[in-house]
Amino acid sequence: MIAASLTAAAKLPPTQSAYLEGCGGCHGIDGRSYAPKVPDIAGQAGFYLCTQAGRRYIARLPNVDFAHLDAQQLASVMNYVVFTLGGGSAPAGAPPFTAAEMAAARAETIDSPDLMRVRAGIIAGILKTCPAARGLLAYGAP
Amino acid sequence: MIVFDTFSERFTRRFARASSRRSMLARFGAAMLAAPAFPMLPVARARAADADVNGLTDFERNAQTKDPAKCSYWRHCAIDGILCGCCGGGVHTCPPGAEPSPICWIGTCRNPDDGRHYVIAYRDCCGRSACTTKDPDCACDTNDRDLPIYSPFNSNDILWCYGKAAATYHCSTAVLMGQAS
Repeated sequence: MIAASLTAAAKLPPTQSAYLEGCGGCHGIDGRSYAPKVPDIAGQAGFYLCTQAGRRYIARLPNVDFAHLDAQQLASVMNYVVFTLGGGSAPAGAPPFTAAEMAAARAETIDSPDLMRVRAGIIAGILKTCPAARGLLAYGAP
Repeated sequence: MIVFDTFSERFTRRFARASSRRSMLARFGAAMLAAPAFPMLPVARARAADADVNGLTDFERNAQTKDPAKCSYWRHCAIDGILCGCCGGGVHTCPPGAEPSPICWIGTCRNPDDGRHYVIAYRDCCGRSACTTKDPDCACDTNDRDLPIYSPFNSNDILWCYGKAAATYHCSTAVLMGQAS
């Protein structure tokens, strides 16, 4: 279950270290949660960049904005999630997250009591542009 | 009552004659200047209490690298549970009949041999009733860098048997992921 690339005592790159400490416990060391109740990141997270609404959605997720990281570190972790762990799911030419973008997102964290309904609407929009993103529907399916 | 009023008036007048507003201002100003040196908020006090002058926590001062079947083993700096090594498993393996939870709590612990911090994944083993052991060194409640449950991904109070595995908690492992940066 542990990624073979992680040698026990190897020094982890700062962004990977921050991902593990803040996200990897639930979303998986390699972006695969192996738990149907936690969304997978591997091969999927980049699809959110198919639409501007999807991009704003993942930047404004509560646990993203509550991370104990400054805006620059948070942007680096987001780019690691969508471009590295996302494994080619991001559309060609999608710009990386910036510190300014993440700082602005923190000022408008999603505060809807029904996050799953918000997510469903976002994914419906993404599927019109990127039909390959169907895997996003696995999380939260009855 | 009249006696009390008279006493109060005399005391107040005598006090006013004997003290100056300037000295009061001087003392008040000195107190304000010194205030930042004494953390007043409970969170600041709690944070300050976490580490000593060398930046080490209580756990880190007593951590050892020889015996992984003890709570004081350096990787167990935030393990809120029973060591799998005391239950037929190991520091990174589940005992027979228990399965690792797909999700886990991840934190960092300091290795006293090299003074560096390493990322540790506390993966609970699940699917059997809680391991019982009479050895007090096997039931640990260490909490370095643990946060209250309103910050759930940084709280080790949460039951991490969640997901595909059965939700029954058996014991905890401490997997070394690599050196933190």
